[in-house]
Amino acid sequence: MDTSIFGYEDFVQELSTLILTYPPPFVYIYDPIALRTTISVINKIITDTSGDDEIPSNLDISFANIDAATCFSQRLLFDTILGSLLDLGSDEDVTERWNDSWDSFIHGLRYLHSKKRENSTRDVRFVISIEQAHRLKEKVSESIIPLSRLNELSQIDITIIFISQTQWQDMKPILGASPEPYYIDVKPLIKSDIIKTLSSRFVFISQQALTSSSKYALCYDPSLNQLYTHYITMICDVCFPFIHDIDELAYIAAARWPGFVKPILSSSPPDSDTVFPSEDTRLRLIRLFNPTVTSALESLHPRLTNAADWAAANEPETNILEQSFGQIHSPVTKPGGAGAGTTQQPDAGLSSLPRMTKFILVASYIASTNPPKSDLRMFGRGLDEKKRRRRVMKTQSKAKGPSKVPQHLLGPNPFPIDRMIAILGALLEENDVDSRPPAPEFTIPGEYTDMEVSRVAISSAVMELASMHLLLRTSPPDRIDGPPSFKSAISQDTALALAKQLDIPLNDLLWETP
Amino acid sequence: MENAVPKATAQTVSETKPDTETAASSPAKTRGRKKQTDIQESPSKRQSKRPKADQPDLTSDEKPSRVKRTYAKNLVVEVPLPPRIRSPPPPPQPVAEARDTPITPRKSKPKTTARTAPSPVKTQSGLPLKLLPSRLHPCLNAQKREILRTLYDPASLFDADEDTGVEKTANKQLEDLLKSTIVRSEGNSCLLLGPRGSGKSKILDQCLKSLPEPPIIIRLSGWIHHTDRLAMREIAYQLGQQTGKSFLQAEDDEEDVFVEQDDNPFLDQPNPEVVETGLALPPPSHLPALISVIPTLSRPTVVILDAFDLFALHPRQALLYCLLDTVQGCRTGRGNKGLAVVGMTARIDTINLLEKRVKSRFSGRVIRATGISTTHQWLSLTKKALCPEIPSLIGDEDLVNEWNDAWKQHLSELLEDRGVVDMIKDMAGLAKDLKLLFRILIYAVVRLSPDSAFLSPSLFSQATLSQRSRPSLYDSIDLPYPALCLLIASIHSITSGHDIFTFEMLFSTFRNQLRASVAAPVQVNGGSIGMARCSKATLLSAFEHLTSCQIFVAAAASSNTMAKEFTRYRTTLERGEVRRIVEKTGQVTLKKWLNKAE
Repeated sequence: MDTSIFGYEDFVQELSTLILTYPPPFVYIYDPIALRTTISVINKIITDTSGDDEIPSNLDISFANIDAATCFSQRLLFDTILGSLLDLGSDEDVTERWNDSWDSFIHGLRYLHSKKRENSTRDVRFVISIEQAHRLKEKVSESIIPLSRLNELSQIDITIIFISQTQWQDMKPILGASPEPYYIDVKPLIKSDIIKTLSSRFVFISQQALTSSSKYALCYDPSLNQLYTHYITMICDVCFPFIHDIDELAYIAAARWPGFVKPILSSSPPDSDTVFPSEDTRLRLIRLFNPTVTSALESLHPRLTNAADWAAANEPETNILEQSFGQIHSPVTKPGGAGAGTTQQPDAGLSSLPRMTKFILVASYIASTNPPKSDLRMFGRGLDEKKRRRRVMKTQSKAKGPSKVPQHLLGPNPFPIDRMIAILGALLEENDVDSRPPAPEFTIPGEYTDMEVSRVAISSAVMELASMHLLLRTSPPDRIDGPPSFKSAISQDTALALAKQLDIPLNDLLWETP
Repeated sequence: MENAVPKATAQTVSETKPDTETAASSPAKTRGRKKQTDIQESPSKRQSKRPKADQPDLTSDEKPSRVKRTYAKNLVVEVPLPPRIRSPPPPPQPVAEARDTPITPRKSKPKTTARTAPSPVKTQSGLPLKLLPSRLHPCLNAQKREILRTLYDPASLFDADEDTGVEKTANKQLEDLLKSTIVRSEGNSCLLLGPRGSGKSKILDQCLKSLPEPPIIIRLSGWIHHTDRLAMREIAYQLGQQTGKSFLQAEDDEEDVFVEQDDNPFLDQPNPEVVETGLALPPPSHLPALISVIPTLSRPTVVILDAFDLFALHPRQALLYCLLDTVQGCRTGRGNKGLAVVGMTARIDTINLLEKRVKSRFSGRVIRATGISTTHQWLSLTKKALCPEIPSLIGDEDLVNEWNDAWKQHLSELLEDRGVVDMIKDMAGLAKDLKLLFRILIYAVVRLSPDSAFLSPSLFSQATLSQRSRPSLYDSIDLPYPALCLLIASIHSITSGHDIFTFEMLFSTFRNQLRASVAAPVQVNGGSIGMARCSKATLLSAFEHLTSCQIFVAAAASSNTMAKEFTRYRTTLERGEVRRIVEKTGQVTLKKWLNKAE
């Protein structure tokens, strides 16, 4: 994208001035909010400064831009850096390996440096920028010190730039082994800058659309530029409080735009040059589409679905403008399809499971959430009583200290499979008896259920669920003594939904009410 | 143009210009020479160009001649002499300087736009919006460039005659020591001790530069040579690089050297290094023997051990033992050359780290670099760093004078400012690291623009804040609503005694609060004043963002059997910091919610 991002002018000036004149040997760029945007800006600076021959300086700058996430070993780190420095220069192949130690890496750097010096009349400067530098700490933490001292170690004109979401003090080696970097803090973008940037991209997008054969190409007609600015303002009004990332906003904007202009495009003849809606139409459009932006935000930002699918699912009817014309005052009107298919049900695939499997899942959720001691109270029945015992409300003990956090917030506990089977039996006895075929051979109450529960099918269902990662096995698979233990892996919402399908009053069966 | 320039700079011009001209305009000639002297030519050409072009900022007048002299010798013996290569890069070519935008051409664009409509950032930083007349812009650019160059290579700031007594002594001691190694072929060892930023490397570089004859310099660093094996390999490599080529050059023919060397037992100096010229290293078993060979080389050797204390942590201190033993065993007068071992460290008890046998071989000489300490020195250094002479090639002498006057006046105003003096005093008292001062100055100088062409106290304090007392991060942070909710929920979690929380805990706190807030159907101006809704998925992605910028840090190792909602985290933000962030956003509902956590 060739348009620049507004709000970064100061940053661009500072960094490019430094790179082009006398950069500090070690620079740390810190941006907690929008790292990707910053990285794209830096890349732009790099291409601008290295690609431009008109710069009146006798300086030949070679950049290496690497991502620390991909350099999880020292060799990879060395190879990536040297490789990208080499690419920019001559195309001779270098047979030597420079990746086995810091020494050889530095020899490689010096070699490249002197090579470039020979080839060009200008001075050579290496600039190495490392994205997500905090990732270095995880895998190659011992390389932070030499990297930060690379300038003095290699004795050539080289600058290291760390770009990270975390602060230097979080990754700084102990004992002050690294020199302090020159800090650059990126200022967060403000809303007006984002609006400006996003709307200025329209020209570029429409140019691209002209040449592309996408079905949305028509939506980016150059004449819609003004409308797009208003549209972006609307998107930002709704979404900016929730997202400050310019790429995310652009993603949402791209998903909604085809639907947004569809009424206009369909109302005007396709070959007319100017598609410029009146002020009134624009306001109406914005009002109509405002609510759908929220649903776009909720499904697109967490990537519950993708932009293309969302746009297809939420396409408005073509005559929506006329439809709502009479009822414009009733805010109830929503464009057709809004919200449909946006949020996936949490139990999307689960409703098709067999009935017994669902029982097992609910039982496992109960076993993972309730304390074992409560089982007797929750499920214990005397021979005579049909009703289960009342749950005794525990009086709050006077014990000092923090209140206990409900288990369903802390995550599932592992349980032995026997316990889960017992709970399953209790659940089946209460909720499943009526649906069974009559079996006169069982005379003792509960005998039928016992038979059901001890079927091999139950064990195989458990194993199948474990393979589907709806149950998690916590004991090692090769242990043979004692019952295997599992952990429930379904969320509370899923468990409640399943229980509802099975008519189990799950809320009553949980020790701590959600 | 050159008639107009003042005398001092005219001299530099006449010095640099012919040089660059020859370098640029007669490639044919150099190429012709290259054929004869093959590989050796290009590095030395580089050297010839550099020191001379550097000269203008390196103060003295008698240097050119001396540099030429050393260069003449370099051509014969010395190859990629690291300190020279490092010495300040691109001397700005006079031609380039003459143009009006030496720093960056596109910088003028933002400037002009900024002048018509001052950008919001500029105004909010509170700089005085003094518009610089456009004729002075080149001067400003040149001044910026000069200052940045001075700060990049601050050696020129420390003139020998202005050094403090201690500094001078250190310099003298080291120089004497190295000289005696080179001239009288002594074996010497010493330790250069001083805190970070006190100028250890500077002293050493100066001394190395002033030596009458360039020695073989071997640089090792404890930061990368974690084991003795690595260090010795590197010694072998550097020796091969430096001696191998020098020998080659003396012979002037590659092939012959090899043949001769291999079967000529009558060479006056048995030199095992020569055999493996290039990058081939001796077999590992020969490495320890290598060190004892050093004194027999054709030139004296200086071994520089950066982070000396780390070498002392190697098992059995074998490398140090070998080196210091060789130093001690150095006998003069048998055709042997000297060997000097210079250790550099910031650790005061380094000598105590040495084993007895190593310590007894160490000379015990400790040279201290103290750097500058008094506020007065810091102030004068600041002043010096900020007013280097700008090259008067911009064209108009009057213009330059006008600019210089204005610049100096503003500078003296700045340095008399109470606040600025206090800041420098603080710095001198707290840090003692000159690099810090340089970073602050870079920060301030880079931000000069025609809108605010002169350094102001506010800019200076901004720079101090950014580089020294780092802003507590969250002054500048601007978090979206879901992240704020999570932060507040985490504070609530702490208040209720749970320092470690999961996402589910935060979410249920948020949900309860949202329910309570929406329950009361109060409306102001037609809008609800309750909290905005936020889906769980959105909150979860905000949570992930917070963990990725380590505002929430994992309290327990995450496992793949643990759903991400239940992984335990801790917050790194204090209550006060969260309050400041929330207050900055000005959302009343959030503020109220946070206040409930008291």
